[in-house]
Amino acid sequence: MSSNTPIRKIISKNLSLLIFVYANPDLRYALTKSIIGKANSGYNSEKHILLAITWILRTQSFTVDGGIPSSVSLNTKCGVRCQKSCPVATGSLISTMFDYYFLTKKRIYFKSALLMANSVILKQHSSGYFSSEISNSKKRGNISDCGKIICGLNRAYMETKEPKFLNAIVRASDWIVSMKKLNSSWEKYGDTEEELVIYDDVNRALLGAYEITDNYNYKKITETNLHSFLNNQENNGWFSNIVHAEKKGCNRFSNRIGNTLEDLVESGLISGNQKYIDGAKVALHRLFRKFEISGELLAGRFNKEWNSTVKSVSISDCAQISICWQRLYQIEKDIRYFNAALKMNDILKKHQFLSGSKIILGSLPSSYPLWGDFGPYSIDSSSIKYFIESLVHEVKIFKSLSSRVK
Amino acid sequence: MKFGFAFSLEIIIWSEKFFKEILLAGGYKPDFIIIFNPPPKKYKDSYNIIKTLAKNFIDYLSLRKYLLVKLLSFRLMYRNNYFLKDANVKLYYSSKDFNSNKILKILDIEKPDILIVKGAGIVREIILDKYPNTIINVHPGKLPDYRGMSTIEWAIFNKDSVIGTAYYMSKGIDTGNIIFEKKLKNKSWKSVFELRETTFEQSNLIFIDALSQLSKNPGNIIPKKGIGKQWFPMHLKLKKHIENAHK
Repeated sequence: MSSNTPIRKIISKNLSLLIFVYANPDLRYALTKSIIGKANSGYNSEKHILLAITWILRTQSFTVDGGIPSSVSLNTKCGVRCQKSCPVATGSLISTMFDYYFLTKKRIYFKSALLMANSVILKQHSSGYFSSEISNSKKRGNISDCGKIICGLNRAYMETKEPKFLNAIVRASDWIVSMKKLNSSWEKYGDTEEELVIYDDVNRALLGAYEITDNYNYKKITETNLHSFLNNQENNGWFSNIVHAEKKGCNRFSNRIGNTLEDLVESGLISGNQKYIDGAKVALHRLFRKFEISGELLAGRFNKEWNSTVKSVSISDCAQISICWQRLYQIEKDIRYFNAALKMNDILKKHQFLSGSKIILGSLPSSYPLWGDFGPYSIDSSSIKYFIESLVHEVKIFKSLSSRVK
Repeated sequence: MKFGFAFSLEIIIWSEKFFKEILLAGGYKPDFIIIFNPPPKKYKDSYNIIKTLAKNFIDYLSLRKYLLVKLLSFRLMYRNNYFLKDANVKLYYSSKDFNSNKILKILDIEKPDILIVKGAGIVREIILDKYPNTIINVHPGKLPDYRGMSTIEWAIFNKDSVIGTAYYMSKGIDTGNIIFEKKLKNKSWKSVFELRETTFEQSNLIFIDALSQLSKNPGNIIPKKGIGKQWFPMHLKLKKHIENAHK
């Protein structure tokens, strides 16, 4: 009798899990998609973008303040649940919405972007940072998050020239500058315990703020920070000492690589400094070869030798790296990077939820497989952001290619 | 100089004309011929496995692909055997791919000075180490600028000439010493498939040029400039783009 007890427990546990999965149609659909594999939808890139954008608009309408939640959990007993809006997720989606507005010229997307920008500035603290429920730091803001929000606000100001956005940018940028210590690192904030901290999200934000305000402090601090970046780059392209890097238990490792590379490329484009782009290119070429040889999505975490250390994939990282390849194609005119980005986008398209309830339709999971290391059983707004941006880049590049032929 | 051919079954069926009429009748009779199966395909996910199995099943049922390949190969083997017996050429057949131990054993028996290989994929190091500057392949692209795959399409995309290159296989991908190179004609084509067919037919003829080059100047090598670029399979959208641009 006693030997049967553990078996009974396993059966009852799995049975309850099965009943739970069966009772939650969205989770059932997402799990089936993750286990069985993915077929081509036959939709073109524009259709995929539209579905993802519609998810953003729908989710925006669910929240009171017009913001977007950072993630939506599928693993709840009462079905899918939306979290409250998150300023980082909302702030980083502003430029995505503006990009899509300029692609389609439909006013609804412009309005949505403005709503997001307005929602974000309401959450700005008097010191300049943005209070984020997601951030571990309760007393003060998170520098990386603040950088992402500034990027969105920069764009909102560029498109509208409204002084409230400028005011928010200046306050947030000044706060970031005030946090910078003499040894070219920022104070330890949020979720890092590293001695030397080089943030990889703030450079393009501050460079953008410098372009708008002409405050040389922003440019100066960025130059020293980017200089530290390149000084910490290994010969194989790997960046050491980036926040979260090589930290045990950290599950956003390659995401930092994606952020670092995107930040370097964008900073290089804004400042016109080729060194930053060259630094990013070494690492991006490594990832390009890795992806082309395997033909599979890049792993979510690597070690210093660029060997993958986990089996699961972070969808947002892969989309972000695809964007970087496309940017690199636009700069270097090496079509191989665009070719790789097209293949990456094709795989990402297969991960998009093309059916299910209104809460998941058009979105992408955070992790592949669904139960992987990077936000298991959830939808991540950053995955959707980078997915849309990557496809928008693809559409734009194809337009320029076909106009070149004509 | 002892030389042999090693072609995969698919290649030999596609290039029957080249194999029978041009190469053998052109005075370059090999000492031996190895026919092997193409390298196995890798299945990336469960969906692809199911899709491939289903496709093969449908092909089998409709007698389109499976039976056609079998019939053609049988006919070809029969004919060649008959022809080759007269010409005193040994014929080996391996049901496995080129990297199998059976092929290595055949090479150890024959010990060729030159081995012309087509359709082998990436040859494993043990074979390349044992037979350096022996295994010749023809690559449909200028080396080292167009190493890798879809090189015909990439050359067209970049508005470069399509050049076929005969070279000695080495450890790197398309990095060996170059023996001979020749421009391939590619003006009249409607689809990328057609473009590949016509250029592949022409690239087969480069084997003959390479053999003639080696018989005249053995050990002659064309110097390489740099390490070039490695290309990967072209995305379908870019293929459609070059088709539209060509029209």
